Amino acid sequence: MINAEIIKQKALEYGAAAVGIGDIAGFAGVSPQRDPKMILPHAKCIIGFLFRVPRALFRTMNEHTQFMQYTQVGVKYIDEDLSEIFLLKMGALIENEGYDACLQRNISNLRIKGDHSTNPELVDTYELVNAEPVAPGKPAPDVIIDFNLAAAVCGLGRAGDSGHLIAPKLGPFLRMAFIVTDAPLVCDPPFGAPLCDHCGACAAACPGKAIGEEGTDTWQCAVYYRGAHKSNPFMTEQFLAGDPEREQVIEGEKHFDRESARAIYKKIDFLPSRSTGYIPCICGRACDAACYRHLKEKGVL
Amino acid sequence: MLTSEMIKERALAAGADNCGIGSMDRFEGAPPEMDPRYIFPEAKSIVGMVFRIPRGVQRGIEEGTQFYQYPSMAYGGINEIFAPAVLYQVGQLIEDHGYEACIYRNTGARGVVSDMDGSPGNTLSPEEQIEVVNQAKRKTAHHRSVQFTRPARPGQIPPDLQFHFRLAAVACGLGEIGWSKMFLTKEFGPLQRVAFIFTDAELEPDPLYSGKPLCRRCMACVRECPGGCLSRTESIKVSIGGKICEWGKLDEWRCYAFYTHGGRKFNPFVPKEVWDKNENGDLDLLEGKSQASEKEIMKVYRALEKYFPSWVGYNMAKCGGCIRACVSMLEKKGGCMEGRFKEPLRTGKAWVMDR
Repeated sequence: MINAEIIKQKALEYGAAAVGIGDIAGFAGVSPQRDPKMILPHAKCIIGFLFRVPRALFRTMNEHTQFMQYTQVGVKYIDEDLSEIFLLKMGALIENEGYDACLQRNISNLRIKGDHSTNPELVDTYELVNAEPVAPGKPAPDVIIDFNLAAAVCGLGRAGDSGHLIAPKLGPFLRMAFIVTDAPLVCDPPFGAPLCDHCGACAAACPGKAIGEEGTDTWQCAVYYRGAHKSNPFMTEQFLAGDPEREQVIEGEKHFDRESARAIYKKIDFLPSRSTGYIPCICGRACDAACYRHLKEKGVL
Repeated sequence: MLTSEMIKERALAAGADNCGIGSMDRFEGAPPEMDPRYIFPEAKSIVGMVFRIPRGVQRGIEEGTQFYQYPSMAYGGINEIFAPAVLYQVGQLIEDHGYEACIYRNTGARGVVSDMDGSPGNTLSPEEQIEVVNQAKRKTAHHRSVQFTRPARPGQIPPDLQFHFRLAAVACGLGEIGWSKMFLTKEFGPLQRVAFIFTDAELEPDPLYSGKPLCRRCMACVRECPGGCLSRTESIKVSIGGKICEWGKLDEWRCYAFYTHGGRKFNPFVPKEVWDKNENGDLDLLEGKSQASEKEIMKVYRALEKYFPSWVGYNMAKCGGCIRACVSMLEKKGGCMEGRFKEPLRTGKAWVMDR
C-alpha cells in the first residue's frame, strides 16, 4: 500500500533533493487556468519535488569563467532529462497502486492565455492567445500550474522578491516538478513564512534592473539574461554600434517590453543556443547568486 | 552464460515495465525494407521492452484542459530519454557477455519507405513537428526525408531501415495489435511505447501471445476518430511467426492530419472563425472536403502554424480519438488492463467542441 513515507523515500532515492506533499485544497481560489483539479477533478493531493542546481554552476558564471554548463546542466538537463525520467518512475509507482499520476514537468515555453510574461531561459515563449475552452465551465487549455504556489502548498518553500522559489538548504538554486494524484496521501503543511527578508540583494545585483517592487519584469530580465549588459564578458564594441540608445541599454537603463525585447533578441547573440532552444545565461543569474550569498551569510541556509 | 532471465531482470531493474524475447525467424516474410534482419544479419534474438505511458498524461486531454504533458513526457520523454537509458543498460549486460547489442530506440520513423503509406522517400510521423517555414525553402519536402539514400552494397537495403515496431513487439510475445492498429498489452492496454535490442546471443524466446484476445473489436476506436481514419470493415492481415495479426485499414495521412490538428471540433487552439473562413481551402482536408495527402497536410500546417507554432515542441494529440476511446472501453468492458485503476479514465461523455 502506497503512502507518503514510501513516496518520499523513493523520490529521494530517484534523485530529488526535497519532496513534499500538499493538499489539493491549497489551490482553492486560484484561476481555473492554474488549477490542478481542472486536470484531475478528483485529485486529492499534489506531490512536489525539488532538484538541486549545483552551486558551482553559479560560481563559475559569476566568476566569468564558464557559462554554458549552467544552461546545459542546470536548466536543460534537469528539466528535460532528469525530471522526466524521475517523473516516469514515480508515476509508475503510483499507478501500480491504482491511482492516477498526472506528471507535471515544467511547461517552460508556453504561457496560459492572458499571461503576457516570458521565460528568459528560452529562445522565446508562446502565449496561448487563441485557446478556447472545449466546453462551458472549463478553462482554456493548457492549464499550467503555478509552480511557486504548488511548492508552497507542498511545504517546500516560497517565492522571494525575485519571483524565484527559495527553499531551505537549497536557497534559490533549484528546479521543480510535480505530480497531481488521487492517491490519498498524508499531506505536509504549507510552507510558512518566506525565507526572503526583502533585503534587496537580488534587485541590486540584476544588471538589467529587472526586479522592482512588483517582482521581476520577465521581458526586461530576458534581455539581460542574454547579456545586453556592460559586465557581460563577451560584450564587444560592435554590439549595438551606432545605436543612440547603446549606452542606455548596456547600463541597464532602458526599459524593454514584449515588443522591444523581441526586437533586440537577435542582436544579443554571444553564445550558441539555437540548437537546444535554451538561451545561455550571461547575467549569471546574479539575482539568485546574491540571494544565496545573503541567506548563507545570515545563516538561513 | 547470458540467459533470457538475466536480460529480463536487468531490463525491469533499469526501468522497463515488461520485457519479452523473440527469435529472428519470426520476421520471415517481412518486406525487405522493413525486415530487421537486414540491420544485423547475424542477430539471432530480439529483445523487446515495454514502457508504460502513464494514464495520468492522458487525463488533461480527457478533460480538454491540458495537452502538453502527453507528447512531452510520453512521446519525447520515453522515446528520447527514458527508453534509451534502459536500452543502454541492457546493452551493457549483453556486451559484457561478449555479444553484440544492436539497440534500436523509436526514432519516429526515418525509414527508406514512408511509415505513412509505404512509398519510398519522404517519411513523416504525426508526433513530430514539421518546421514548415524552413522546410518550404528547401528542395526536400521535410526534415525527415531520406530520398537520397541508397544501398551500401548490392543486395542490401538502403539506410535507415525502419522495421514495424508493433509487429516486432508481437514477435517478442509482449501482446497483440488491436483493430485500431495500436499495440495492446494485457497490463497497459494501448498505453505503452516499445524499444528493442537485436543480438547475436541465442536466447530462449517467449511464446507469442496466445491468451484471450486483447482487443474486443468494440470499434470504439473507429467511432471516436474525428477524422474517420479507420475502416470498420476493411482490414490488413500480417503473419508474424505464424500468428495472424489483423487491424483495421488506417488512412495514415488522414490520421496524421487529425492527430496534429484535430479539426474544428477537437482543436481548442484554433478559433472557430478560422475554420469558418477556411482561407484558400487550406483546411479542406480537416473539413472533410479533400482526400488526405502530404500536399494537403502541408497546406494545413502552413495555415495553422500561427495558431500553435511548431517550435514549441512535439505535436499535441488534439484528436483525442483512438487511444482514449480504447482505454475507456477496456476499463468498462474488459479485454485487458482490468482492475488497474481505482477510478476510470472516462466518467462522462467525451468532449466535443460545439462549433
